[in-house]
Amino acid sequence: MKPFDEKLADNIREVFDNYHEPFDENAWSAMQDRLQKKRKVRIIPLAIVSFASVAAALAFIAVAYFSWDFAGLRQAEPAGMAVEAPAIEENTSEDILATDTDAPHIPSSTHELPSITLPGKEETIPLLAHEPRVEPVSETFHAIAYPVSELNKMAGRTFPADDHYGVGGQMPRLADARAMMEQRLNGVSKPVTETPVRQTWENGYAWTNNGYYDDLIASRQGQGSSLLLSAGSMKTYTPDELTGGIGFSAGVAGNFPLASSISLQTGGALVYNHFTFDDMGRVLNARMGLADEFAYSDVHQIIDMKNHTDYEFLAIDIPVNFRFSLSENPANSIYVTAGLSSFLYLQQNFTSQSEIVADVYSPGSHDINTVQRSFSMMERSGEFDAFRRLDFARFLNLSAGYAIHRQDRTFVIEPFMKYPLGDVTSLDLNIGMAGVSLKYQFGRR
Amino acid sequence: MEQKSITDQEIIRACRKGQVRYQELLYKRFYAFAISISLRYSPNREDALETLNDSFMKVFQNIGSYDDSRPFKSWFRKIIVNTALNKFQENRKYMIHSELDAIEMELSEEPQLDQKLNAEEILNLLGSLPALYRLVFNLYEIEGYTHQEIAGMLDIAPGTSRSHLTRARQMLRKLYSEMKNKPYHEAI
Repeated sequence: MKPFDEKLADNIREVFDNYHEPFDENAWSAMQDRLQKKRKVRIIPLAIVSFASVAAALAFIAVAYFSWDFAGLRQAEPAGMAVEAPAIEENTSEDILATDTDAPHIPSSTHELPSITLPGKEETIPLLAHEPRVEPVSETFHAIAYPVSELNKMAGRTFPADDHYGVGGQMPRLADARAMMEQRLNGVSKPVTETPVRQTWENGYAWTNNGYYDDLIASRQGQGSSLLLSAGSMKTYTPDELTGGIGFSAGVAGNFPLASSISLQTGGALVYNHFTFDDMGRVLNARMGLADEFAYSDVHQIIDMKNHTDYEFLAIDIPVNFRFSLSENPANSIYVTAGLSSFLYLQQNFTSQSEIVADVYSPGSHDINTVQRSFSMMERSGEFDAFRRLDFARFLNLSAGYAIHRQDRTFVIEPFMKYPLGDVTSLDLNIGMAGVSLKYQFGRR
Repeated sequence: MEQKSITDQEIIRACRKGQVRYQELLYKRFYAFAISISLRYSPNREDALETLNDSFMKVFQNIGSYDDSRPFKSWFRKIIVNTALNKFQENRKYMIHSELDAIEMELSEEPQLDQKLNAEEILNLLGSLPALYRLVFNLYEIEGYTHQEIAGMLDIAPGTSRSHLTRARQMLRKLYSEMKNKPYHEAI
């Protein structure tokens, strides 16, 4: 290297090692724009998800509404039923037994009464019948004709040929039959117990047609599971206030009967929540406390601190709830649920602004401190990666549902509350949620 | 208001949490350091500021990966140099190759650096170099990389790196002589 090159390199190093130039505000403004743009980009997916959630909820409600209406129309129009549902024929009492050639042969003697297998029992209990009485009734009513094979399949029972027993009733699908019969027979003045077939259990238990259906339905109810689609909106609350903003959820759940009035509900729902709150120190834990970060002076005393936080998250809610039926009748039912929810967070971001008022003490002469009142604004923001946080069983779910039944569909309105059992989200917030869910259930329970 | 009682590590910790105010503090604190590097690698101030902000952006995005046990400035310097290199690579395809042969000269005698140059004069000299010469000169003379390392960074042969360095020095001598012979207001 020639001396010039060496000297020039040393010169450059020396100059730029000690280089200083005034801070360029325009450069920082450009940088701020870029940082803000980046933050906005982060929010876009959540915004899309929120719109999608609202759209899904509206679509769900629309579908449920039209489906509901259609079901009602079909019920009001018997002719329509014949198209899809099993044949329903109007018969007089004399030909109460189905006349359809596909219908099972119902003998007029006291033979061939079916036996029945009770749920949870291995043995088949034969149905004992007294002499069948076919009492003439003037009113018309409906009977439903089903092939025996279909009945067997639907009811899950056997119809052994047994000469000891008398005439049995035909076995329509129980859920359908019950709903239809009760509605159709509303106008019949004669009590249901006066229907032509009266049977008793072998143990002497009086069992009318009405009771027959009720008991069988009750026993069948404990066996079938059902599927629920749900959509709802919610508000978030803190110990101090109901927050600003709103949340949405949409999901699917299974309902698994455990006993006659208890069932287990579990599934998954996508929850989007965007809320804002003013923190009075009870929402955020110490991690969020800004006092520690207020380190402008070694000697300071915070006089007042206000915090306003904007939080947004997308999470999968995995509930495990027990449903207790309080009232059950053909048209509607009421129940309550209780259980726990786990939240797995897919996306979280926040912005928190704080106003801090502090007295800053500076040592002066003659051991006299000067005190300066300081007003500062602090802002922090951030986001958390997907699957970084799982709040396992951290929400207590409490809800009450009112279900309206139509044939094999059920529409449910269910106010709910999620009470926090600990700190939740990656910022360890002390928040809960409350709202209303609309559910569409395939199946009666 | 930036207070000197806040250490670099405290600012970095706060930046990791995404706190905008501390990002501003970091930006202000290391602005001079960053611009001093990016200016040397850029043909003009506008490009230097772009490199600077690109570098800060990378710092904010990747500050989680910064190792606290190592000096922040070393890490940041690498980011700035790397950003400048990336910028060069992006623009490389648009460069006119003849630029490298634009100034071909042999000075009759070597100039004497009898008075130290200030930052403005140095930037004038460096800004007049073709981009590839300026990069090689900075990487070799100022940052202390070897030709082998520079070759890897710029995707050129080590011999080419040596050749570019030689040409860069020649050009600087020539440019310095021209600047010295010009009246002050023209030289700037």
